[in-house]
Amino acid sequence: MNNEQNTKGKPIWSFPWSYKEGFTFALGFLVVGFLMETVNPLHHYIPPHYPYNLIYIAILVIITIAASTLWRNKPIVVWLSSIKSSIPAIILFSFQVFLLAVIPQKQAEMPAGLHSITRTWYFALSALYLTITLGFAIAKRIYPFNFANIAFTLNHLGLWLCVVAGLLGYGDKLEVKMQVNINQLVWYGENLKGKNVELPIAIKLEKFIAEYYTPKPALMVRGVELPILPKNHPDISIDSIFSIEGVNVKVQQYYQRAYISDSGFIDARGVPFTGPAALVEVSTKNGQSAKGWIAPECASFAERYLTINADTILRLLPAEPKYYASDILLYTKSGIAEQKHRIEVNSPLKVDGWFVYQYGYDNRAGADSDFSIFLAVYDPWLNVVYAGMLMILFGTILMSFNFFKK
Amino acid sequence: MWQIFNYISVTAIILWVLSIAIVLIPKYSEGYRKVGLTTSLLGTILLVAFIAGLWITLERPPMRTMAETRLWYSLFVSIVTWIIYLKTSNKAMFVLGYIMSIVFLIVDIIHPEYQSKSLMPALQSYWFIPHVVVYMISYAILGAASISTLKAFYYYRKNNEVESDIALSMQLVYPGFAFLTWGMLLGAFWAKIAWGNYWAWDPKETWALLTWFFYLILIHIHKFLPNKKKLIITLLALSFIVLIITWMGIKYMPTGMQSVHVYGG
Repeated sequence: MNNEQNTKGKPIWSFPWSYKEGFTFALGFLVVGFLMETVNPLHHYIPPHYPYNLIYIAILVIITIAASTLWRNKPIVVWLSSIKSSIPAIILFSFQVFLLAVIPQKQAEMPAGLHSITRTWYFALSALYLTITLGFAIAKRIYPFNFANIAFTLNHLGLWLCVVAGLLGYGDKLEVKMQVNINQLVWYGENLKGKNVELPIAIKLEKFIAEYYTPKPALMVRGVELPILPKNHPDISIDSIFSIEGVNVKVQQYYQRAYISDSGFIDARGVPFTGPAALVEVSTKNGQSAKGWIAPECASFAERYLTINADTILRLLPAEPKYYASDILLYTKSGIAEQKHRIEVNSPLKVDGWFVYQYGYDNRAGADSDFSIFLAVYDPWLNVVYAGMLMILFGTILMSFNFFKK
Repeated sequence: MWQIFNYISVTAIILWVLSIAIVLIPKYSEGYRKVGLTTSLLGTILLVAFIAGLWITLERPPMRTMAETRLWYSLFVSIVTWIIYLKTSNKAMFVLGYIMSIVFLIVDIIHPEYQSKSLMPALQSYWFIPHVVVYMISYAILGAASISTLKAFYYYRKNNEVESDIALSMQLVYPGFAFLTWGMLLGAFWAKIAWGNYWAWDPKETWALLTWFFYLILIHIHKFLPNKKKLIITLLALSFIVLIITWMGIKYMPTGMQSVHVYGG
């Protein structure tokens, strides 16, 4: 607080520096970043990758440690490790986040890289300013070890690790999609640029499994955008009578798998590429009635709905997936041969630093899909980011302890 | 279960209005305080029972639609308000807190958004419940903090002393911020398991990060520039506005339609 009074009324750039210099730096980084982006966009360069990213991080760490031990009393080091440089840095970075929050990303191209802010000079410079001030603040508080300093270090070093490893580690990340047909062995995938790359792992698809919820009946009313669902969640495979907004529905027949015929639908249990259908009879309060089949579109027939009156139809909405997974055989360059695995949504396969996710399948064929799509991600910096996140987790727990003690 | 929602919510609202009336009886007595606390607690218990019933009948955690998250918010605000009153006997916080809970129940009476039992595979995760619950607790605590901010703002305009109101707000901001951080981290761990990346700059994530940064700035300014009262009050209010946009406003944002987080219903 005393420092604040000391710096009042002093000309800018004379030491000790204060918030004024901090915000001038922030604005400077922003302006310079925008100019650089306009003249020579950052995405013209490939993101730093191993070992260069590691070297940059080492340089950043060495400079921070050296400066804050050897020149700890120099006014610039004092300023860099103080709140007067960090608040402007946090605000500058928050401003980038604000831009990201309001400007749609990865859409139509915009001037100065505004459609892809995380790959611009101004974003990079903001992150650099943030990591520098964070680094100096950590160097000041990491020692002596006491409760407050440990909580401080966990929070700040955790954030430092997340920002540095998350941004500089990006260049080492590999992300590919693998489409694997049943009984086919695939050892390559398509990366984000649409190029096929060879992988150290190979997958053979043995079986694809998909389960669906029973499709929901819904009214579509002219002028109402969303389908109107019945209030008591009827399951039309079990409940034969229900109502939607005063329309009474009686289910006369329901087939989980039906095939279209001249007179309507026939039971097609076990036949691939068939879909659900229901024969229903409806009646409204004003005496209108109708009877007919309703069925969502599937691989072998188009949608069928029932017209109740000029403004209202009854539909059977497409069944929503309940569960899907792939039974695969895994082979790796590191020596795994024919290892059985099941890859499910929310349960990826982890092997040799790779995460393999159940990503998609043939939506029209549903459970009969004869291929499965996997997303394979390799992120060597993941554990560093996780370490940072765990530090923040424990840091905030300590922070709230400290707080509740008060 | 939603069919009986109106009866339950109206009863809870009556109990909370009654408790507000009891607490506002001008003559302070420990007896009134206890009756007020008990009455409001009954309303909260009723809401807990409804949410439990909804969970059982839907056969999935009721956290998927806006209406469902509003239920949790109403619940946690009523709990946080109850605890604050128990500890501080602050009548204004009690009144405003329960009004907030009541408003959210009324919105649900008007827009119940009945939803089906289905839960898409990506949401069938053990990370889902902690992620949403931790966020709702955080939002409830930070909501309570902004109630105290309203009071501070009013007194500030009248040139009254606002020290204690800012102190109360900030006392809530710290735990609220901790929960906000945990909610975000839980989301990141879950995203890595379900979608392949811990961070994807999805609009909801970006707005959540922006909210986090607003509270981060607030905390730093409050710690190092505690005399900038107007700035602190403004930041408290702005941060909560950003929070509300994050929670409810994403689909109205130009960036919103890209989000995987837009609620069903």
